[in-house]
Parts: sequence; structure tokens; C-alpha cells
Amino acid sequence: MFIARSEYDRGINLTMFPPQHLLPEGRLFQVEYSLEAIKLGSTAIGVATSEGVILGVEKRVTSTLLEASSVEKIVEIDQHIGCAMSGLQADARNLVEHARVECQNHAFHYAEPLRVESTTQAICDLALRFGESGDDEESVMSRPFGVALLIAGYDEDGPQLYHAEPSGTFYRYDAKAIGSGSEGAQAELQNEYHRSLTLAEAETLVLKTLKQVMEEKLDSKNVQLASVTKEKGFRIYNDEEMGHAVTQLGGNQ
Amino acid sequence: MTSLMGNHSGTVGYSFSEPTSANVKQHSFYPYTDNGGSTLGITGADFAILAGDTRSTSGYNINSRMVPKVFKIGGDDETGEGANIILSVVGFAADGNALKEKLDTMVRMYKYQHGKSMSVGACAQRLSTILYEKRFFPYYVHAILAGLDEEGVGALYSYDPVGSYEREQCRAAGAASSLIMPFLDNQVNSKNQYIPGSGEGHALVPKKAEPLDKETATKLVKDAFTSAVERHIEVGDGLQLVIVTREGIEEVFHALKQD
Repeated sequence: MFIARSEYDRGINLTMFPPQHLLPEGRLFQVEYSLEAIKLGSTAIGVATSEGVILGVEKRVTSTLLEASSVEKIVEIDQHIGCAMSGLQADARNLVEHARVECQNHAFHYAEPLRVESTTQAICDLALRFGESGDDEESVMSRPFGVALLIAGYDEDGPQLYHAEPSGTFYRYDAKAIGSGSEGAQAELQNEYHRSLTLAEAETLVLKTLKQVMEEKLDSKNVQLASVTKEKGFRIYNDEEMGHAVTQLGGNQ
Repeated sequence: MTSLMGNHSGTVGYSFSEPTSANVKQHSFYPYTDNGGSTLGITGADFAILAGDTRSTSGYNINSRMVPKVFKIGGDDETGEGANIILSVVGFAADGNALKEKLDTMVRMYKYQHGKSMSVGACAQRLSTILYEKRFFPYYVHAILAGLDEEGVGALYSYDPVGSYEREQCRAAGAASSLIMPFLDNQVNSKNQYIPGSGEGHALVPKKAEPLDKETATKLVKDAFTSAVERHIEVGDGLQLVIVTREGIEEVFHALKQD
């Protein structure tokens, strides 16, 4: 048996094994590439407080002719859960659709809302269904999802924020940034986050952090906020609320 | 004028042969059996009781004198430990067992998937959808589900064979349900009871139903079954009593007449 591997083995392996297979060094290249795709995506930020969770995204309005309201990067999954995305938006729609069905199914069967963690798990269950299709499988994807999600929700355990990746792993965060500006944004969140943050403070923190990492100048049209609270569930900010939030930020800075 | 339909005057438009009077054999398939027996449930402020006799019949025959009808749901496979929901099934025993097994599996899977025990309210809705899934080939059973709700109050849900359900204080099901239910209406829900001397005729004040304590409810269950045994041939042999409280699930057996 070959124990020691050389660079020469590596070349052979790449042709011998299709890219969706584990390579001898234990890596899944396709998944690693999809993680790269997310680093090109627009920045999305989530901050969880004891009062609720705030989601914020940059919208990248690339043209003055583009209708900003048609850029949808924060969507509702159920009354109590919403998510922000970064990466390939069409892929996100598949995941969100699946999550919505799971939520409705759970409510139908159990007369209670699906928990935030279970919703996240339901999304991640789809993540590794790519590669060659077996005889018993109905349909598999040719590649992993190219999108990461920040899932915010409220259930019996209070407000929660989860980050789901194309690798199918997910973690719960107090505050998390994804997308092209994530490195800078995450560092900022690390400095500014504390457990006694109010919802209003979290809103400011999200906007302030977005402002720092965005290439364009932040205004009420090129960012989108949403909140999840016990009282109101998941809500996307309307134009008036966005205007208010951005003005507030201007006043604070 | 010529008809578009052509002329078939005097003939009927059938292309197949006329029905014959040959011997017609009608086949039938009836996969259900009524295994008799009765169940009943009573709840109070901090407990829920489900009870059933242990006789299994088919027609005038007794299959067995010891077939329990009340099951712990979602607990350990053998001991039932860790369960906080109970289910009683009466009607066709094979369907009852299949239904119990299915619900039990789902409650256990729920705990793995969601990291928490299923509430009795969620279980009630799930049982309803399980039953309705077989709307056109139903589980031939009357099910009663019981446990404690999120506030710790006794909860009891009764079902028809296709999944209609309702939360109630008490319910009798099975062969002797028509004997037991009126007794429960009177003793648990104080129906047709009035406060003596509170007035004449329509002015009589009805007695308000108050939640029973566990001991009173247990006595009522035993009385209900000893009486049912006297008047119904499919009920008897043994009484299984399962009681849910905050402390857990308690199960006791009592003897009933074997005639």
C-alpha cells in the first residue's frame, strides 16, 4: 500500500477522482469552491439581542436605472423566522422554499411553529445532496449550493441567529457577518457586541458595520434591514422605517 | 331532415351485451374485526387518567383476558420510562397496535429532531393527521390521548376513527361507552345536578362542574367499569389504570369479573 503521497500522486488523484469525491487528504474541493463563491457575495450581517434579532444586508444597486426594491436579499421563511443571504441568490431561493415547506408542514402536523434550530437543520439537510445520482435517489444537484444564509428567528428559547454554509454545517452566533465584507465586519462586531445590547442599538450596530465595509455610500436605498421579535415576529423594514434608521445613524456618527 | 347522430330508431345505443340472469357471485373483503372492550379517561387540575378493561373478544369468544389497551407514548422501548403522554385505543386491536407503534415512533423521532419532548398538544395534532391520512381505509379505533399540558394541567383529547378531535375533561370509548359516558356526564361534568333548595322548577340552580381530585376520579373509573361489566358481555376480566402526574406515570391493574 502507498502510505506516503507525493505531488505526483496528487495529479493522478485529481483525474482518478471526480471533484465531488473526497480527496486523499480529506478535502471536498467543490464545497471549498462554493465557500469561495460566498466571499464574492454582498455583505450580510445579523446581530442577536435579548429583545430580538436584527438582519442587515447591502443591496449593491449597480445602476441608477435599477429598481432597488427588486433586490431581495432578506426573505421571510415563516412568521417567526427570516433569513438574509450572500452568494448565488437563485440557490438561496431553493433553500428558502424548502425551509418554508418544512415550517408549514410542521405547523400542520404539530399545531406549533418549527423551532429555529430545526429550520436551520432542514436547510442544511439539502446542502450535501450533490454529486452522482444513485439508482434510488430521485434527483441530486450537480454542485453544492453557492450561498450562505443568516437565519434569524424567535421560538421558546428566545431570539436566535444561525449561520448556514454550503458545507452543511451550521452554528449559532450572537453576531455574524458573511459575504465580501465579512472579515472587516466580523472584526467590528467582535469589538462592539455585548450581551446587554438593545434592539435599537443592534440596528445601529448593523448599519454602522455595513457602512464601514460597503464600497458605495450607505443610504436608505442600498441597504435593507429586518427584525425578528417576540411581539411582531419577522418583519422587513419598509421605506419609511429604513429612512428613519439611516437618518438616526447619520445623527449618531 | 337527416340527423347528425344517424338513425337508430327502435334500438338503444348500447354496444355491450344485455345483462344476463346467470348466477352472479359477489365477493367481499372485510379486513376489520371488533375486539370489544372499553376505555375511559378523566382529567383534573394536575393529573390525567386513562383506563381500559383487558378483555379481547371476537364475537362471543374471548381471545384473551389480558390485552392492555393503554400505552405509554415516546418512552423507553420496554419500560416506557421517560414518557409523558399516554394513549388508549379501543376497537380493532391490530389497528390500535399499529397506530400506537406509529405514534410512539414519531414522538421519539421528534425528540431527536427537535431536542425537546413533544407537548401533548402537538402530539394531539399529530395523531389527528396520522388518522386522517387513512381517511379512506381508516384505523378502526377510538383513540384517547392524555398527558399534562404546558401549564401542568391534565389534558385529554378524544378522537373519532378519521381524526376529528376535541380536548375534554372526560370521555368514554368502546363497547360500553354508551353505558359509561352518561355516568361521567353526571359525575364529572355535573350534568343534571342542581343545588338542592335553590329554587323551584326552572329556577333551580345547576351545580357547577369542579375539577376532581385524583382519588375521586380513580374511584369513578373503578365504579364505571364494575358497572359496565355487569351489563356488557365484551367488557371484563381486568382493569388497567394509567395515571399521569408531574411525578411521572403510574400503572395499576385491578381484577374485574370474568363472566
